[in-house]
Amino acid sequence: MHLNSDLILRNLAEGVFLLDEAGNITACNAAAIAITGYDIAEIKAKPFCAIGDGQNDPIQYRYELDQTLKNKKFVAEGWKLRKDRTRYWAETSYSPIFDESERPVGYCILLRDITEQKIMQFQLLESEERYRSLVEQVRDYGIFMLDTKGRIISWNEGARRIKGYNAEDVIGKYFAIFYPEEDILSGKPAWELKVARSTGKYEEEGWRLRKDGSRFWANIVITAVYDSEGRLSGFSKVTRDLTERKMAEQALRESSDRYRQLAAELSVANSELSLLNRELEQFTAIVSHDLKEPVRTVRSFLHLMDRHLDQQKFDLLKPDIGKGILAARRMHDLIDNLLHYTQLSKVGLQRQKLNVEEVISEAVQNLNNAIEQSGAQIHVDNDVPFIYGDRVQLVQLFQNLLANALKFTNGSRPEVAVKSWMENDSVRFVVEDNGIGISPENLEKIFEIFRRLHFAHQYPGNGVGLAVCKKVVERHKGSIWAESTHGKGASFHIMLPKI
Amino acid sequence: MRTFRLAIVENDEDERFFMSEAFRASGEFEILGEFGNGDQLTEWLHGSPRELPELVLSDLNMPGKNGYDIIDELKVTYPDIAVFATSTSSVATTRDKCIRAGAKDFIAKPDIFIAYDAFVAEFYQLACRYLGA
Repeated sequence: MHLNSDLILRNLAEGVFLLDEAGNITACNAAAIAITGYDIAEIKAKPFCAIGDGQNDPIQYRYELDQTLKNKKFVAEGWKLRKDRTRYWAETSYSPIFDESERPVGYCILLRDITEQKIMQFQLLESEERYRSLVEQVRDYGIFMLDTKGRIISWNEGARRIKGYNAEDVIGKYFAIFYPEEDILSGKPAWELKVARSTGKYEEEGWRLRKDGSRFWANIVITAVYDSEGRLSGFSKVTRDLTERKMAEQALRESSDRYRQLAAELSVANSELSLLNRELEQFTAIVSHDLKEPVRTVRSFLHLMDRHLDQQKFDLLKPDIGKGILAARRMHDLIDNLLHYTQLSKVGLQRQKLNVEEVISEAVQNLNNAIEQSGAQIHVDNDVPFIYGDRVQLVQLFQNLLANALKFTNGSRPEVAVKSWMENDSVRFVVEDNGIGISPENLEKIFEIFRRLHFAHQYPGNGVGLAVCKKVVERHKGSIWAESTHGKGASFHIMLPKI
Repeated sequence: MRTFRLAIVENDEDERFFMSEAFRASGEFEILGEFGNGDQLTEWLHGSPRELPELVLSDLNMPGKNGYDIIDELKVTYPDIAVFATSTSSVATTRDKCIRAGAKDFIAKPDIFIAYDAFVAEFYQLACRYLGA
């Protein structure tokens, strides 16, 4: 294709003005007319500055032309007015024109309407500015930037408020200054950056330091920031002060702990009270029945004596008196036993380290007479050296069990074995006899107070012994039960906690 | 006037003596047996006596099988026999406990055991009410 300069000028998107030596327009192309809205007749022989910027400052124009000659180029941009007085952002580029002998003969001006581009640029700048001032002014969040090495490169109002540092205190410092000593020693700040770098983000809540050294509970998010080529350009860090929330949570937890503890204490007190209440009910039942019974018997015999006296049946008086005395003694024994039994729950438990061997042999000693009279054989096979408990009560426990073993026989010589061994965290004691045994339906009943399985003339007793055993064991937080195979004696098992 | 066939269970011999005296004196009861506890009563019942009692009057506290055991057992083994409980204790809970367990009724023993006449009269009224005159 043959290039013709007229053709090029006509088709150029830029406006082209040709100026004479004085700076007056001699010609322009179609694009120039399209941009400015003037036709050539209107602007011919006028200085370029007259068509557009509305200022038409000859001194400034002269200066621009001089600069063009001097530097061979002059570039300017700014608002200009079209013929219809609308604005457009013009980019103008002046070039001098020289003739063959390098003499300046005029100028050429290229004019471009870059309004759209410029407006976008303005908007972007404006939005960036808005954004920056927004970040700077946020008061509740500390927002700042770190470079790739973790040095602080920006600082906002929130950061100042939360951490107490002004921007000039911290810009350029490594961000670890906000971490407690233990975190610095364990390398936590660097590790957080490493996590942010590899996963894009690091988030946590933890203690941080203010400028004055006080701690605050921070929620922090470190986000890796990449440039347009995807290279790490630094990190943004957002910090929130959640100390108040943390304190509130802690206070809530403490108060709920306190209430839980209180509730637990109340529940213990409650179960102790209901146990005492049950015992009290039992006591009432006992007083109303078991204790009343012998009183009634004594009273009955006194009335009977009165009747027999009236009937002059003097020979019947003696047996009446005898039975009255017997009933009175029974009442005395009952009261004694009952007091002994109730005393068990009242007196504090004297917990001490006890030699098991000694406890058992003391119980055996106390039964010496009964053992001699019955010719009983007592074997002790003890694997437990020590136990913690109340000496008096535990001696009583073994004494009652042994006494029963000696008493409930069918005439043959009693053989009793006392064994003990460790079982997990408990100590098991077994007292085993060759006596009459206990039928299955009575295995539990025998531990009830005043419960007797036999008439007094067969096997004397007051129905308190095993109730005492049960109470002693329960006071030691253990359990007691009986096992028996008909006709093959009975064994009493006791589990006590080791400590 | 009808008479009731009665078995008495009471462990105290003297008490039982005066109790049965009063029942006999009333002429309203035929005493088929007197027992010291529940074991003796059930042993007798299981021995197929010639005649079964219509009523059992049982003390509550006794060695071996006590009154509560008798109520429990007869309810199953001899549901036709009406068991009446008696005791020196007259607290409401004792009475409730007996009736809940299956006793027909509960009557407190007299203050002294030589004064069973009123007790027997009351018991006869109760027997008539529950078993028909």
